[in-house]
Amino acid sequence: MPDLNRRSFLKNSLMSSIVAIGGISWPSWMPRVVFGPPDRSPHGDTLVAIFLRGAHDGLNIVVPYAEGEYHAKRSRIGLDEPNKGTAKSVVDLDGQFGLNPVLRPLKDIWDEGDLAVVHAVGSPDPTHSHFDAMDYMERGTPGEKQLQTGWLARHLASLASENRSPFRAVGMGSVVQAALRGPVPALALESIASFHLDPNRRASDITRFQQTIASLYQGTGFVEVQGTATFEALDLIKKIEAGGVYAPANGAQYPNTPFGNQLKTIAQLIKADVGLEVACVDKGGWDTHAGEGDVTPAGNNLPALLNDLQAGLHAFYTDLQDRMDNIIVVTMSEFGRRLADNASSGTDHGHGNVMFLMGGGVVGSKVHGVWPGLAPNQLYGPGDLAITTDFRDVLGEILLKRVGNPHLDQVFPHYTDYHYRGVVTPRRTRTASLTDLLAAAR
Amino acid sequence: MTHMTRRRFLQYGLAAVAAGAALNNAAEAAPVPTELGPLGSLGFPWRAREAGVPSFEVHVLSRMAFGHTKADLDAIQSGAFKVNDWFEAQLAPDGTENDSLTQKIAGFQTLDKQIWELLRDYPQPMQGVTGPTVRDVINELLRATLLRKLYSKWQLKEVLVDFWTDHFNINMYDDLQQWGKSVDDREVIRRHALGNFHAMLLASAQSPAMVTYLDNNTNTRQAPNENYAREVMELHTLSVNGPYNQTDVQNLAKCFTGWTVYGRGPNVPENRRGTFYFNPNVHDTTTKTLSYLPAPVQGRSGPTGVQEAEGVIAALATHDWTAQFIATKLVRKFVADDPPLSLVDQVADKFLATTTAPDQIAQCVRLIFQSAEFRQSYGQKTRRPLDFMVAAMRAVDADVNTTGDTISFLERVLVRSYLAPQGHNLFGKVFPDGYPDVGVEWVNTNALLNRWNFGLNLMKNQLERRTQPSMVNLLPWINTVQPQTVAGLVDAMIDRLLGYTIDAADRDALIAYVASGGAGSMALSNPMKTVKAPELAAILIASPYFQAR
Repeated sequence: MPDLNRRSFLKNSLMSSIVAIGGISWPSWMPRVVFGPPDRSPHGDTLVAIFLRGAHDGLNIVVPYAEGEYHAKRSRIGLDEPNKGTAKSVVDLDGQFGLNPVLRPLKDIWDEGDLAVVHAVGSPDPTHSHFDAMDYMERGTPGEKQLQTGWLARHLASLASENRSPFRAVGMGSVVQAALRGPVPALALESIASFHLDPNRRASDITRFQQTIASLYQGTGFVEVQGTATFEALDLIKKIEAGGVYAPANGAQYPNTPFGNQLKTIAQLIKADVGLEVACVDKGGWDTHAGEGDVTPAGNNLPALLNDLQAGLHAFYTDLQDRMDNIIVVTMSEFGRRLADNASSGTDHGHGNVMFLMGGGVVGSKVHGVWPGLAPNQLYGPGDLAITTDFRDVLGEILLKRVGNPHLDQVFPHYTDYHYRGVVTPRRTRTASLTDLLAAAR
Repeated sequence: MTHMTRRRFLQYGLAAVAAGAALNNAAEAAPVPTELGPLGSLGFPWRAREAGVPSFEVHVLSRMAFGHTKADLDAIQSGAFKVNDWFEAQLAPDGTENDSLTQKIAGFQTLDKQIWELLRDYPQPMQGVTGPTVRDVINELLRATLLRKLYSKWQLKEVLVDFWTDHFNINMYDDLQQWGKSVDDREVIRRHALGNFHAMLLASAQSPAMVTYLDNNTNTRQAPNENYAREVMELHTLSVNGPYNQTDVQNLAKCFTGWTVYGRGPNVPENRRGTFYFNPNVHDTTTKTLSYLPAPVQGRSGPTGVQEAEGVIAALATHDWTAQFIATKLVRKFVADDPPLSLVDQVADKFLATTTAPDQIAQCVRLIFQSAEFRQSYGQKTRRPLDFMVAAMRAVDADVNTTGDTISFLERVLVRSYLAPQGHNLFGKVFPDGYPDVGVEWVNTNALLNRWNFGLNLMKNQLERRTQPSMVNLLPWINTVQPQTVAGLVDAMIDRLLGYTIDAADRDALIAYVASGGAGSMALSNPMKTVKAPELAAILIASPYFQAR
């Protein structure tokens, strides 16, 4: 077997094939279930979309420390230049921007070339309402509410996929995220551990009990389709769990938080090859109007939230290291926060923000976008960071180049004026035949 | 825009009914950019397989009540249940109540108090301090809400209370709402649920919980806050596609400057704390223009400044866009996720014709009740998580033990373990749009699993063994019915839980479960009565049939 580095595009497919055919030892919790002919299923990256709800303060997350205006307007919660040597010194990225030091562990991924930032990005709609802004972003139609479906649901529906896995699209949590709402059934999953029918075995004949309910759900009505998907998911989860407790690889340590546990579940699903194409994760609490904090985690302040965010992302990356070429993680938040901090040591609703991208296909170690500046005449509205990159430019480029979906007209209807920032590299098409793979494996 | 086109446009935007074909003027149609179509086309259909048609009585109880009880079925069977009489009585509750509810709710302390009394008697919890806290106010409202749905004889009122609770949504877990939602529930929602919309809207605008929830208390001449002004038009009256613009939002916010609540501090007289008042000192006295009103709102100073927004509320409450919006939502509640336009238009006309009637809402609901659309719509609605839970418990006459601390079962188990994980956290919706009323929002894998587990634990008395060891007991009923065979038990159970017959293959599957693969003619054994019968009920509760109403 040739010495393949992490960025080799073939490695994962090779290893899967070896296992499937050669029977080489592999964690037993991997059920090896194949949904649809793999050559006709989409070859794209698995997309993990993280929605940071409440409008996070991008200016204190990826800090434009070279801007005098930043320091002038943030007398209460502003961070320091990287060379200041203080606890509040940011982690330098490129001589202009720096990470909030709470995010320092992400610098490893940045240095590896698998992490990038897009700055001054967002939804062009001027709303300062969380409700509307989230809605617009999840529908992928800023300023329009006619279309009831979400951008990810339309993405899935626009592909001629033969992937029939109940895990094709998973929304972590009690309800499916609005981005996934649409004609392709998405699985709502709180956790693998909680996804059981009659976990305490109270039915006298548990097998027949489940089979009887399942038989009642045979049909093509909406509720029946959902019920059938539930049983398929139950079945798969049983197989996933058969090998015991999930052990993350490479010493990855997920934080024991809802966010950490949800990312761990996604990692488990990815490694189990159950056909996962899209996963949505939420992390809320970013509406920091008061007591935002700077670099010291406390309660539910910004540093505390960032700490959970970085710990989860870092563990996910570590755990899935040898699969990262086939995974893309993207974060988004409905809008940014005002440049000037307020009298309550917080920030009010703003406009432009940051997005993180993580994965092997990311053009990493780079802050992408066009920086609009922070001078008064460069700000938007009441003193907000302007938007120079539409969030659809980023998501559209990901779908096009990494996930292999050319139908952006269906995913983001009416949007044609794309400005791709080169945030990802085009995915190389897998052409190797099974024989090639086996030959390479020997 | 013609009247009809306007209505259809509104309808389209609200309900997302099928695409452009419904619109007779393409230029005004909201563009539908993909062939995937709007979500409305996914609306919850009746089960793809065949099922019997429920009687009109059973249908009415599934829509205008939280499902039927055993007593209801008996009354229907004996002819004592006259559906028209029942309905008319439901429109005008006479003040009596079922003993089962009265007894369970008798010890409640907070339901009748004024907001300043609640603030005085139920402080925020503090470490090391024992005694009543605001948690008690919150818990009693949750408990009362569930008990009323389960046991009140005024079921239609409870259905409408649920409806208006979403329409005038308030997140109870924040700020003054922790005390104020209980008052709002009594003085706004329950008082007017079957009454007059204008009266309800005005009461809501002056409800302390609504004032703080939508930030009107921070809305001043110097620093206007548009939150309430926007939502009262978008969510409470005209609807999101209504005839208003951003300038109207700003100008209406100015009208509402000074609509606020007294503080809670020691410098405020005790019996005013948290109550609504108009503060002329922060009121914007300029004249405001609203595009949907024929004349500008004249600015007023002093105490009469409150009349500006009162006038706008009166106009909004009787606007024909409001009529269309409320009619759409009512028809969606009672008839179908995609409300039939013919009925919506009739209800909107009734709404407009009765704007001064004290029973305006009751008259609108009566029109729905009497319509062919309602009669023919059985099975087209999905039970929301609360509908499902209460209907299941009513169908098997679950008797919740509410003695002593046991009563906390209601919020600990029913709300937190079953409703909230399905996304239906009562009074906890953060955003002001309320919980949705279309099936597609509620049916997903996680929710179905939660429902299936609920049904089994309910029937096995395992929702919380410690506090509810004998909440459900079907054995006395089975011994009364005395089915001789497995098929007899299955048919009796189907009738009791659903009230109509089901697909033959599904019935066979139920028989096979009880008979462990045997035939329906098999004689009924004791273990079948004691062990299999509750599980049979659990399977029916888990079935697609029971998810619909």
